[in-house]
Amino acid sequence: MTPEQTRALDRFLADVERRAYIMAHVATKSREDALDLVQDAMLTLVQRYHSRSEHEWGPLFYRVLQNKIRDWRRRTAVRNRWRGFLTRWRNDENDETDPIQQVEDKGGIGPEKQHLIDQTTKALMTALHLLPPRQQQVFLLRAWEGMSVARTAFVMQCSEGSVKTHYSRAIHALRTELREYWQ
Amino acid sequence: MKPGNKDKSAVNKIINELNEGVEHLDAGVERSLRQARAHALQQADKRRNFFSPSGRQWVPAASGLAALFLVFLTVGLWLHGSAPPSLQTTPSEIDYLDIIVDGDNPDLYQDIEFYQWLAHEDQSG
Repeated sequence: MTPEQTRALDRFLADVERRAYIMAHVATKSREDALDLVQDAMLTLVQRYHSRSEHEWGPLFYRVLQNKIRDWRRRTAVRNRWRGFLTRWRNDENDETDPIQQVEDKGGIGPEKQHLIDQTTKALMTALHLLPPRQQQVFLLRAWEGMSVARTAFVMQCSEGSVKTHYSRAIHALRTELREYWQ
Repeated sequence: MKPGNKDKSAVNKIINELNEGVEHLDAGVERSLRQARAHALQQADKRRNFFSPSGRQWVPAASGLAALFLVFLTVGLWLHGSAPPSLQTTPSEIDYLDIIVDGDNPDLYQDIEFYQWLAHEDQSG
């Protein structure tokens, strides 16, 4: 990897890292897990695909990230099964999330605007969290990242027909869930 | 199914909210992302240095070890090496070969050990 490539990769990752984090956070609902997934995706891209041309990095990075998210879902499903079993066994329900850690730094926004943002964001995030994984992915890639159907299909490793179906279902589900905001 | 105007406007709202989320990431997350990026690039540099011509510091060491191994191998063979097996055959082996090839009077040859013993007894007796 040449120094020019390193600089180009640094620019590319700096450009996508925040959106990648939000995408991972929508999927995991966990700050730490989202950060881990983004870091893993960055590492994989740099190690495996640094020699590819720059215009390929975008789809490859999101493909890697989606794979990491999918693996995370599988691991979490297994862990939750075990945790549920152990919880029933011990009859001990501990909430592992620390409420103080969940509070985000608000920056310089006023309290009224922040309240509105909080309300809307909360509703939106809830609706996005409630979407099935594939619909969630396709919505974020198509609507937010603005990817074409073909590129989304490449990232999600499915057919273009599946992308269209998932997207249509995602819109329908969001419309139902966000009735108040859907005007 | 393509979203209608109402859907488009609602989708835009959602996108705006997501963009707001990106704009207002808390400082801790931003710092972690920067660190993750630096770490990823650093790892790639490490790998590059290991295989790149400037970073092949392991090559002289590996060559030295290989040379040392060859010296040990040569000395070991020289000290403990046995002479190559002789290709010379003993007369008795040739005799047996002749018997097998000729195939005449096989009974005599089958009892040859007996006749040899008899001769030996005569000489000693």
